[in-house]
Amino acid sequence: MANVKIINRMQPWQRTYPVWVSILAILLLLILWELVCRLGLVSPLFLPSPVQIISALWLMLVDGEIVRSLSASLYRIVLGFIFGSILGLAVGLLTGTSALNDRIGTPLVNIFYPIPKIALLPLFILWLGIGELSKVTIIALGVFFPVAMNTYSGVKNVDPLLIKVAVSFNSTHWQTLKTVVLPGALPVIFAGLRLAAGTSLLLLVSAEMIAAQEGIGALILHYGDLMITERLMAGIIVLSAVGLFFNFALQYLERKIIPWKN
Amino acid sequence: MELVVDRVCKSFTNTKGKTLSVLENICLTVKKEEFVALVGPSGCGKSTLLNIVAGLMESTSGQIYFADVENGHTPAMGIVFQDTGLFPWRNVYDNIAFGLEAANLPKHKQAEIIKHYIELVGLNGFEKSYPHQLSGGMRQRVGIARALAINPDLLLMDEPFSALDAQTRTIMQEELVALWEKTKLSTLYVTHNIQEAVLLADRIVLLSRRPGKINRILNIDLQRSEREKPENATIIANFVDTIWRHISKDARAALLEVEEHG
Repeated sequence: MANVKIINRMQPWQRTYPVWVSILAILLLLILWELVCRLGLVSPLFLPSPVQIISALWLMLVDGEIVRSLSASLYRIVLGFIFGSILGLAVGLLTGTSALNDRIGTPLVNIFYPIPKIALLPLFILWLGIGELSKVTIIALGVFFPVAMNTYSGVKNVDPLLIKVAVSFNSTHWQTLKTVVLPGALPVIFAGLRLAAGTSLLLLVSAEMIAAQEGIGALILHYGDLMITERLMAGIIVLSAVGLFFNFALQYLERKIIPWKN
Repeated sequence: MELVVDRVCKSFTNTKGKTLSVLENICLTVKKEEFVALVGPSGCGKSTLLNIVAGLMESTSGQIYFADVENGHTPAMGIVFQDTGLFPWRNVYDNIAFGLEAANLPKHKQAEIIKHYIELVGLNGFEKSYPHQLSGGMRQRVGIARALAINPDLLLMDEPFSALDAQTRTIMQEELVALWEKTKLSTLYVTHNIQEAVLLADRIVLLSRRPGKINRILNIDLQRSEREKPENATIIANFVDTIWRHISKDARAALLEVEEHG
């Protein structure tokens, strides 16, 4: 006779680690990178060290180059994002809530959706000129589709019981749209906005590389041509920061607007 | 004023063109200050009937009306739904306010009414809570308060406690009895729980299934407050037994049936 101890066999699935592990991992990676560069294992032309990149970034910040490029880029992306998302929201709501609009609008959206938006840039330049308008338009278009499609499916997936409840309390059609359908669709709409944020950044950089004097995309291309790699990398860091900021801003907005989602 | 259901039939046509009769020739009245329970096995069309009465579904034939309505009065119905149908983005207070907002009541008048019903159903201190923060029983209290707040002439309840655990359910049944004694509101109550129907109703309407027809109507001629007393246990047990004998065959048939999705 012996005791047989029971152990928790789920332990490998239940394990958790604190946040500092992530920070430590990033620091270690940076140190490794710096070491590889310092030891001369790769040419700084191909891979500048983190310290070189940061100092390049600092210089570009001080002489105003970053501010100039960033403000040009932000102007385009913010305008494009606002116009694209307002239009996408409107079209998504219209097609999602009316059977007739659905029949007319949804096939149109589906036809234009698969076109890689950047392919339309030459056309927009032809129509709208080489200035800001063509770039803002292409970003707005890229934002429009994910927002419109998510708004549509968000509206379609609102719990029918809740619509029934609203109707049972004699809520008018417009009231039901405003107080039930729109809030019910908000979580999916926000998923669309986050998707659109990624798309807008991609289109911004592509458009600036094709046709812009100023902007982060133009800056990266410029330093690539000159083979000043640390400045090119500094531009990429700025882009990453812009992307992170966008995500944080949307998350903040989501928590403000959708407080019932914990 | 009383509710009259006059020869109501409902049939569905499935995709293969086969017509399925769900309700056949339903005639019943809910008198003033009467609590009527609709009891039947799953698939007998009791929820369908309630939806038709609520004006949320078309009947195939027959009509439903309020008889002896005072001139100029528009009868109102308060509905308590099976899965509560609370708006997740509205807190307790705003959920109860929904029907009052739809009726365009001034804010201060709403506040007065909501305060009253929050006290009546025991939700004090939970006004700011969101539905996901509440237990199932508390959620359905909000659902009941919301239905009562519009001061309905008829209360419709569609298996309001079926999602609750047995203990909570017992408590909620007792609370409903107490609440009903205070309001004496004409009520049509759908349930598949025989015990519940016998505890709550003045009259029990038994529905058979496929097609749903009125099988029998029983009067529970025992004071509601007397029904939980031990000396009446046999009378209650006899009612339950009678009902079970009437519907057990149908209930067994329902168990064996594979749901036909149309």
